[in-house]
Amino acid sequence: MSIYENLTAGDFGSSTKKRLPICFCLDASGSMEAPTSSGKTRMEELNEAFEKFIRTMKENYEVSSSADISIITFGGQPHISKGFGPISDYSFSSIKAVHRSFTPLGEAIQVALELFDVRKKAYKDKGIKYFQPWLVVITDGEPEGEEALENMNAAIARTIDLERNNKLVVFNIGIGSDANFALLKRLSEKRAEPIKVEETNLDELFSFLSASSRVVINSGDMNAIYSSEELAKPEEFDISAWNPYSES
Amino acid sequence: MNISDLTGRMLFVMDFSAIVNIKSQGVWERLTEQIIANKMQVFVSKEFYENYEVIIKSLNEDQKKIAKMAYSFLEKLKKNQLLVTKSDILDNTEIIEMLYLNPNVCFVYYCDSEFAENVLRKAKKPRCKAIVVDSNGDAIVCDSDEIFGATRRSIDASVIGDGYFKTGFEAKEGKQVKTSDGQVVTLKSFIASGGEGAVYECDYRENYVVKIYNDGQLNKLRMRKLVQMEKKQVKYDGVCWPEKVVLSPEGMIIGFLMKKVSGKNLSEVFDGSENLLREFPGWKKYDLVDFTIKLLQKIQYLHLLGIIVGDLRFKNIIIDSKGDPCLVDLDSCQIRGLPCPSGFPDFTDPDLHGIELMRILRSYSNEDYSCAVVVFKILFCGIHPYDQRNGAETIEEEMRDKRFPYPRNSVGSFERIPLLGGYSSMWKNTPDQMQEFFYDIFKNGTRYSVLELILMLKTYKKFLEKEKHRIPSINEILFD
Repeated sequence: MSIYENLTAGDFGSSTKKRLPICFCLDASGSMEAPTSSGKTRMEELNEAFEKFIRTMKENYEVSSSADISIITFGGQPHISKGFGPISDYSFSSIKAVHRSFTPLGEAIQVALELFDVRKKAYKDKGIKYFQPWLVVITDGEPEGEEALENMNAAIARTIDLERNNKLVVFNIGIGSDANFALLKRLSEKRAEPIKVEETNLDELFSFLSASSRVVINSGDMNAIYSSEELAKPEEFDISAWNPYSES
Repeated sequence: MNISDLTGRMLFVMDFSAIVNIKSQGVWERLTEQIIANKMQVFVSKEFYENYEVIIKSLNEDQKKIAKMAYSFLEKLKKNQLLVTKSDILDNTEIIEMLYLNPNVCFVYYCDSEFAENVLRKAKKPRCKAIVVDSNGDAIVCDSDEIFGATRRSIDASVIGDGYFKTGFEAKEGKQVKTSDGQVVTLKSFIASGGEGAVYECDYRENYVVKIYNDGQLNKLRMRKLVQMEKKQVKYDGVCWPEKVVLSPEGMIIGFLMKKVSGKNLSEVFDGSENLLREFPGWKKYDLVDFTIKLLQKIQYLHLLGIIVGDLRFKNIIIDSKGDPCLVDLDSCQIRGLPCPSGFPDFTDPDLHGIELMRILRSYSNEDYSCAVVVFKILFCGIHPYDQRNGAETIEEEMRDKRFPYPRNSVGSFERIPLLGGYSSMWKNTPDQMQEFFYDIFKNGTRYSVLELILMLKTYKKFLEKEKHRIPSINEILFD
């Protein structure tokens, strides 16, 4: 049976907020079992950082009532480990790597895009406003498996098309040095370089993601995450030459 | 012209804003003596009494005193049969349109008031006279050709721009700052920070906190506004006003003192009926209507003083544990020619969408729109009037095109009303008069003043009191 059948829109909760759908595509292939310098495996590092991220997101009411998340893991097969629903209703459960499995990255992204479609249609039908979805791809390797590259190329073509039309925000993230950054780079035209993160420093990555979601949710502008980095520094005035008490 | 030049059978049209902003009781007494001695008539609208109810709750004794004097003055006029009221005329736009060509009429109002705005908008080539209370509280008597000059308001162009001042002051516990009259204030524990600045406990007075702007956040607009805000004697329960400027040891303005507020912002509380009832179990529609009236009265108080909130939105309104509202983040408000540079599209008049807010002065009419959105969102537990099924990409488009999904008098399609949250039932249980009202605002684009909103909500409140036992569903909040 194909994973594309039975895709459901998920739960919606009763919040009136503009929703930010985020789909995490997380690498659960065999390589994630590799030990890191801290003695834990990459997967353990990812779980710890991800759990903390969920906790942080739930602390802020605006964010917790706006963010809708789903999780797709890819190790051997793409697997919807959590369908869409409010982050406020989600209790974290740890993700397991699939022993000695391949990395169907492209397939996972395609499932994510399908999930977004179903979710967006449901938002529209129910009268819930939403931000364009966030696709967060985290991998420590590169696509592997039967037709993996073809599927990855198809996934890239679709994400680029959506991104160009402002219908998708892509976070293309590689862990460690074995990730195929050249391929990750092709997932987004708006982000100059893929995000590179050390396996022992995943906390920083997730802090960045929760801060970015706060910026977007609070400003109401999905492009705020790109523009906030390139604000020109304004000119500095000399206070001695100006009197705030004078009426002009 | 002088007050004594106003002779003959004059009719004075008195707006409450004049009374609130007049500098001294002396000016007021001279005017009233003149009116009574010459047996001249005074016209006040129903709004006058509503405004009286607003201002009498002021914590500023001077404002209260003047308002009381005005009231007893009206009683005196009534006794002498010099008072004219017409109950069918609600808003001052109508009065202005009716009377501005009459040379025996004199409008009396404050230069930054809503009345002033309507004079500019409606009275083309006026033939009436006016007494305009200026920003210093002086009453300027104007012949018809002087009216516009005394009324027109323009943006203070000298404060516009991106530049900032370096304060060189790093806020932290234990540091000292001072007020403009020299009182030393010590920063105590840190409370919160945001992009603009940080808030600290302090030893100024009980229940006061101090906000210090971050380095790089102090621009000309902010500084001049702080000075203006200190000058305005805003004292009102539930209005968290930047009362006093604070200076660094070097004498530079770096922040302000305000009353401490506790509670949650409306965005956290009014987010669907379930969430609202979790915060305030047992609340009924009646409580929502009552809360909204209290809130609007605070906004109206600021309007009477010539202040436009500007960035009016759920996040800038706090509800305390008793369920009372408080306006916060008022340091961004519009005062005199100093614009309010911030805004959130959902609450902003679509006429202002896409406009650089730093470069314009907002009108009372713009703010009336924001108030209407706030009223709808409170009464409907957080849903936006233009949230709808199968709608446009953005709420801005819906607002611009006035695609209001709720059918008038419940006749018509409910198909576009958001599916989850019970909003269709909520609308069905809204009395016809309120439905008409919202329909007129969000479908026809009619603007109602804050006072009109208050009057409408008072009627709603009475209706609920009277009918809630007979039809319990009209008082409900939670529907499937």
